[in-house]
Amino acid sequence: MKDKGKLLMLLMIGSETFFFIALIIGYVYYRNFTEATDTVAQHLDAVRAGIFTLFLIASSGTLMISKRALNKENFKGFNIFLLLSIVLGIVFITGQVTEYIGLYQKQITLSKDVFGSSFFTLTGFHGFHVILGILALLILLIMSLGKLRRVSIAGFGGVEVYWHFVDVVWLFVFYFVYITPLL
Amino acid sequence: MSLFINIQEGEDQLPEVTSDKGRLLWISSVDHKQLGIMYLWLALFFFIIGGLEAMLIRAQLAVGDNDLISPEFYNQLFTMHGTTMIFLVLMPALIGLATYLIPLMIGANEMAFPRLNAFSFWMTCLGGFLMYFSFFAGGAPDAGWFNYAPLSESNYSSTQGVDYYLVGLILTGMGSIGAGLNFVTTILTLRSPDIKLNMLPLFAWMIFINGFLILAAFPLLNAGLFMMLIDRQFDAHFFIPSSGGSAILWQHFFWSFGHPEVYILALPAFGIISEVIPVFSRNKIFGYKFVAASTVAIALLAFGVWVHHMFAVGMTNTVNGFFAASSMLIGIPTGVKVINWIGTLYKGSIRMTVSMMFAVAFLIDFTIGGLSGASFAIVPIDWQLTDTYYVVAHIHYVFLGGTAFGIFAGIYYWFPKISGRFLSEKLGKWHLWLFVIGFNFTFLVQHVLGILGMPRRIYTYPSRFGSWEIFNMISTLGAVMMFVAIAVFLWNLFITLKKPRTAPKNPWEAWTLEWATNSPPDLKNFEEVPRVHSRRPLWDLANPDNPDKRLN
Amino acid sequence: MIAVLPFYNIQVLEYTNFLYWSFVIVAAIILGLVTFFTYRYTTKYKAKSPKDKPQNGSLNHKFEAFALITSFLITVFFMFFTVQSMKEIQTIPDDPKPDIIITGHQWWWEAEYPNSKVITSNEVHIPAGKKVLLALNSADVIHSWWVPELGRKIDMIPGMTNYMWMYAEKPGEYLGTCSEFCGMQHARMRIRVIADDEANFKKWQEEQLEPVITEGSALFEKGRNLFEQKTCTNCHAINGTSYNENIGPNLTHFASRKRFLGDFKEVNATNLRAWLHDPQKVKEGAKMPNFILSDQELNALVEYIIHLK
Repeated sequence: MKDKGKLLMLLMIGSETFFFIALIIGYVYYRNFTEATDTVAQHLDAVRAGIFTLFLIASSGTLMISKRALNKENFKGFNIFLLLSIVLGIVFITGQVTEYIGLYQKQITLSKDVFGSSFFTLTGFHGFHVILGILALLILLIMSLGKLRRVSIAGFGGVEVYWHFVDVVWLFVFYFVYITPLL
Repeated sequence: MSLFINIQEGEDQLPEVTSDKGRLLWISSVDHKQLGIMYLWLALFFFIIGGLEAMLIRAQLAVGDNDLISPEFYNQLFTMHGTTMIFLVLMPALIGLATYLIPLMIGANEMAFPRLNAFSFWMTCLGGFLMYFSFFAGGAPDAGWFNYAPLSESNYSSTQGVDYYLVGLILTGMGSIGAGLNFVTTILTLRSPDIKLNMLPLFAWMIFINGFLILAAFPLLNAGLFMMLIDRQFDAHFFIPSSGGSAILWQHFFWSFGHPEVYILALPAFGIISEVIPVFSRNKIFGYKFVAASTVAIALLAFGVWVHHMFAVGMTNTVNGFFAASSMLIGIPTGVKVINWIGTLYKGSIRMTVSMMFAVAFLIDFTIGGLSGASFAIVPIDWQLTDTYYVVAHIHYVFLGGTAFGIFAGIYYWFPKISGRFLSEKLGKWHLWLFVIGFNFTFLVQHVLGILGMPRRIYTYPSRFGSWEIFNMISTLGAVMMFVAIAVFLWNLFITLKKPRTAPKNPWEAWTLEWATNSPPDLKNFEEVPRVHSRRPLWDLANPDNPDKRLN
Repeated sequence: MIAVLPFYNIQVLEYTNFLYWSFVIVAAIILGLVTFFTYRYTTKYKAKSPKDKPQNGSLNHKFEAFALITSFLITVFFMFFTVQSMKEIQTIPDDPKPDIIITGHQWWWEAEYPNSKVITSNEVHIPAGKKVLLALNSADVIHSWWVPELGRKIDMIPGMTNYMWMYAEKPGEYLGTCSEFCGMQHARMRIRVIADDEANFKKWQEEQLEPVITEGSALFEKGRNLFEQKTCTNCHAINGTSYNENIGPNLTHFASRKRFLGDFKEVNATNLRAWLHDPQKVKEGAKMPNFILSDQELNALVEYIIHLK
């Protein structure tokens, strides 16, 4: 593979996958292999989280559209859809932050019990990755607002893969944290 | 057709360091050779510190009921000794050698990501010094290098030591991941166009596989470390049983990293041995394909054996049986390698240099470590001997008799390339014999101590156990010999580095590409890369009438 | 004295013994072959001059295949006996009724006999010639129970109960040790198991169940009062009184034990006095506070405790 930036990002994603697997295993372990009952799940609003999930998925879609625009050298379309992806990402993060605030008001905190610890650690690390992704997209946007340079096309490959990865990780988190307690 | 090809330069190269002179440039350097050398110095620095810690430990244990060192300090010492030797000595030494040699071996002028390379080094460095800063910040970590919960949680370890351990390891872990990313991408993208993957020198091949191991193993540790840090700093409950957490989960995270880590430290050493033995036997490696394929087998199996560190935890016989089987199986590909190395000696013309002697010492002592390791796969034996000095003996045979002997072999072998000077063979032989004999004295008897019932991590033992005292004294005397050996080695380094650079390009008449460059290589490694048609390009160049079989 | 090779001469560990010696033999053969060929080749094929050339020829690759198959067969052999012996050693009934419940504390052992309601600490008595089922817990961090001559080792994990069999063929004293690092005094958390024959074990249990001595000399009386005043009772239980906290070792029949502090010191007035005078000096890190007792108070307390037979 000649695009070493994309290769690096794929490898790093592979590595990050193991990190998230470990965090998810922690959550699942406490829920299924100890006698404790999940105290967080009953306070979660799966529908609300589901809506924000759609925003995140949509942002992956808009990013793909913007890539297509880039390939066609339609820089205006590229900028618009890139901006849209960033906005959708920010909407997702806002959703997460308001959810945290709501939970803290219900006294469900990181230090409440092991499920509080798992929930905030897992979703928090994911949120952190989303924020990093938003920053990377922002950098791309700022760079492309000037004269679009080669390096940002190369960088785009890496950032795009990363953003999809964050998206996919969220689907797993959403499934294990929000959906499985309902099943 | 020319013998040389011009190397392709990328269009968006980084600004290059224009000169390799001056000390400040080392700090800002992104040159893989300078970073490799800095890794090696870092490893040496921490090797001395970790060694001094080991000497204090041995001094304390020389006689029973000794009160030379307080239990509190002793626990910090052995924790730091283990952590230092694994994360701050063996890792940087191996990564350093690889950082230096991989681009040279594959005919590249740089790593794929030079700045990431510098980032990796400085993260490792920062993590190491941060961990040692804990000594000045109230006390070093004192819960063992594997930091079992809940002993490592705030209610049982109230100093900041464990926090330093956690943050330090997260940083060095990120550094290692960066290095792993860099090795894999470099080998995949920057090889000279002639070199196919099956033509890589075995050292490069092992580092390539090792890169994947690092990428998969370290995130597991980092996840555990972050969870424990959140436990300690933000009152979470992951590993605190009294508030619903699980002490076992930490062990699973730690060992699902920890066992691959053993191979992360072993594979590069295997790689070094696979370079050194053929060159000094003047023979091709016996069974390149076996060595390469067994590496892959080891890497895959490495992730399926971690529970053999936890047989005494009280899991069901089914779980234990499964992991016993996988742990026994992983011994087979490792055994194949030993056979290949011995097979390489057969009908060779062996040059007994210090490097080669370390490789031979490796063969025997690593075999002992491998065999004692296999005995832990036999669950009932593990149920007796785990957490005794038998384990201490075993890990030292693997890490010191294995990896460290491999590193020494590599240092004596590549020293002319790296510095342009030869380490003294005479002092080297003193170093070797004192070290190997001292090593076996120290650790061979520890097998017996374990069988006699001496648990590990004790700061003292009752002096009424006469046989324990005798064996511990032998062990301590052996450690003193190793101490002297290292002093000889340091003296050797010191006087050698004052000599002028006289080493020719290829003093050992070796066959891999790094020996086609100057000693030491210029800032730009290769103006032109020799054409490569087999696994031994320089052999083909030197013997145009009798080249190896063409592979491309 | 701790056991010397061959060290597992008992029923529970028959297989361990067999496996260990089979392993030692196989390992010795492998190591012998590796050493022999390494030595032979490095001497036989050593270069005689710097110009020396290797003889052409290499080992047959069939040898590798042979080694692979052999090592696989060895693996199968060991795997078979491993599984057999695991079953033999570690088969616990579905509804275990332990004979002794042992709880690890930093850094001492508590032993409870559910059948006879005896509670003791540090010195564990078992009947000889009978398989004893242990239940193992921990009150704080991870400990590990290991008496090499009497059975396997098993971790004691907080929040989890493990079970194992222990068996002593002959009466006698057996030493063991905590073998999971458990903090500052891990070294001085040793185990003493005393195997008695049937009659003595019964007698011991009966003695342990006897009510605590309540009367003695004036000094004894003073000590008993001090024991209460100085809040010893907040941690130490004495059966037959209202003191029943079990944070520290149960002291009901303290003086009937040979050693205390995790098999560290002999039970006698001198050691006890030194311990009460300054626990940190005797066993650094121990959880016992220093009550800064005067000489008279020490005398009285020692007099009291040393008579708790």
